Amino acid sequence: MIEMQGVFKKYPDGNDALKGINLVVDQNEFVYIVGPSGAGKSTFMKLIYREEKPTKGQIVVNGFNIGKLKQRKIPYVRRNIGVIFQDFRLLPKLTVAENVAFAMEVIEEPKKVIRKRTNEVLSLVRLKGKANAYPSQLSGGEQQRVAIARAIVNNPSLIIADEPTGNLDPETSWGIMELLEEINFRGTTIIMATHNKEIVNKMRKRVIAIEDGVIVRDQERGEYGYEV
Amino acid sequence: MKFSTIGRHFREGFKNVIRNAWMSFASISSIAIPLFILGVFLLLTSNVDEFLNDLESQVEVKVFLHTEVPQDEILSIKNKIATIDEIKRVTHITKEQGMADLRERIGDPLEGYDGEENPLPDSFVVEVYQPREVKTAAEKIESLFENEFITIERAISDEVDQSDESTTTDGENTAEEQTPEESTTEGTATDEESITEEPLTQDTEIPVIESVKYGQGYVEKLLTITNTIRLIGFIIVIGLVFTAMFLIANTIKLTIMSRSSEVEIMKLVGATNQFIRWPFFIEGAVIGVIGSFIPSAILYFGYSGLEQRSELQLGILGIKMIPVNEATPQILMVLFAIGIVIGVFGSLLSIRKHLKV
Repeated sequence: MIEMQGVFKKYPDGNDALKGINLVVDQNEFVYIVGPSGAGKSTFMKLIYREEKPTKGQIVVNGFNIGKLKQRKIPYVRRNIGVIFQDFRLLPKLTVAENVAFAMEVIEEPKKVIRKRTNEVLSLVRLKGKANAYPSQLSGGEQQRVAIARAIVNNPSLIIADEPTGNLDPETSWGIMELLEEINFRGTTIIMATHNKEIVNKMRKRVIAIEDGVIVRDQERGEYGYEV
Repeated sequence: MKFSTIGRHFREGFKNVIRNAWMSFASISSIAIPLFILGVFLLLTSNVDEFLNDLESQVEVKVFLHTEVPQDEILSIKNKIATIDEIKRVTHITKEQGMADLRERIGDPLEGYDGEENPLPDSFVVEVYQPREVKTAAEKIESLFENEFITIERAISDEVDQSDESTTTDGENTAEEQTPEESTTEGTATDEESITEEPLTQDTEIPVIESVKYGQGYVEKLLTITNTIRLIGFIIVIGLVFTAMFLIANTIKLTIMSRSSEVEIMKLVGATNQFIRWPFFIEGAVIGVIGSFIPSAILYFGYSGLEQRSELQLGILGIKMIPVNEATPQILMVLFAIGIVIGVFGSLLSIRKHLKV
């Protein structure tokens, strides 16, 4: 699913974000990425959906060699990856249903399919009743569920979640985690960067710790391992 | 691209204009206002230009033949003048015609100078293609006939002929007509004398062309002034075009910057650049069309109203505004072209920055 070999990333300003990452993530895994702020977690995630390009090394995602990908092929790789952010990134002027449908319009799905699939996904994230509400009328947890709905609506094989619970209270966070776990059970690989010790320790998954640009720990059913 | 997608782009493009109502309003005004100012200036300069052209077209060369030139020579002289490159048209003014024209201006004192008594020479009015070539044309005519003479029988006392013009009675005549007309008046007067006293005559050679006039001095000044006015108008218009482009592009850049998050999300969910660009392209075009339609409509109706109202007042001064249907079409086309081009390219250029990842 994801394969990294000797991946380096140096930003133009001289910041060495990643210094030799080797890693394999298989289909249907659920992986936590942990580590202190500025250790390179975000860069690691961005390389996977090709927001950034590696300076050295090889990354293969879903069979695409990400480093050598042509500019115009990028959209097609991204259609197979759902991305979720700490700050939700919804379009404020579109309703919940429109926000979700947007991801399908963009890949030119027929209208009928869009309507049907949007309904399905909204009921999966338990937001069917809020389909016509605007993001500003929703709570943080609800907004994140819209973002998740948008991320999964195109049936991606991989979901990248960058601190999806970072802005939410503990109770709401658990709701989001249950949802992600359910999506994972349905066959989607999930890679999630997080600082949430409680979640990592209670919902045991593979844990990869990145410090100063290198992987310092890679552990099945691991612990968070840092003091908060 | 699917056909339904094209429809979606158009819907989205129009929707975006409405959704971002304030930004659209800002963009439309930023297109409309500079275009309006530009339009006013274009109308002004084209009217000034028309007026200047009118002034310049009055510049012409007048060629006065000697009174003694026989009628059958006149056509060949005319044709010879017409061979000069700079010359557009040569019109023969017969002495009868010349007298009629002169009477119109002066009237009564010229009673009785008809037929044989007509003292005026035949002349040509020569029009040139370019007013600034009038001097060259005049010089060419002069040199062309430098060595052409006709031989006539003349009274010897005729020497006086051209020297003392100032003593003549017809002081009212304009400078242009003065020389030939008066000299010949005198000439015929002395002729009568010589016939009654002693018929002492002799063959003399006289030049075919008496004089060539084009308003020396006056024309050069006029051309300097008109060219300066045109240059100033041109500079102002160019300056306005650039100001308009800068203002418009800037506003569109702001509009799109305010929507960079939208573009970012589109990219994240896997939209192709083409797909992202289209609605912005259509939105830019819509804004461009509205933004140029408003000043165009104001200019059209404003100008036609002004034209009707000014017909009376300005007409007296001999100034005529270009009719609205002649003046406005090209200018409105220019405004629309600028508006749409800037609307479309402004949004495409501004979005390009956000598309690179």
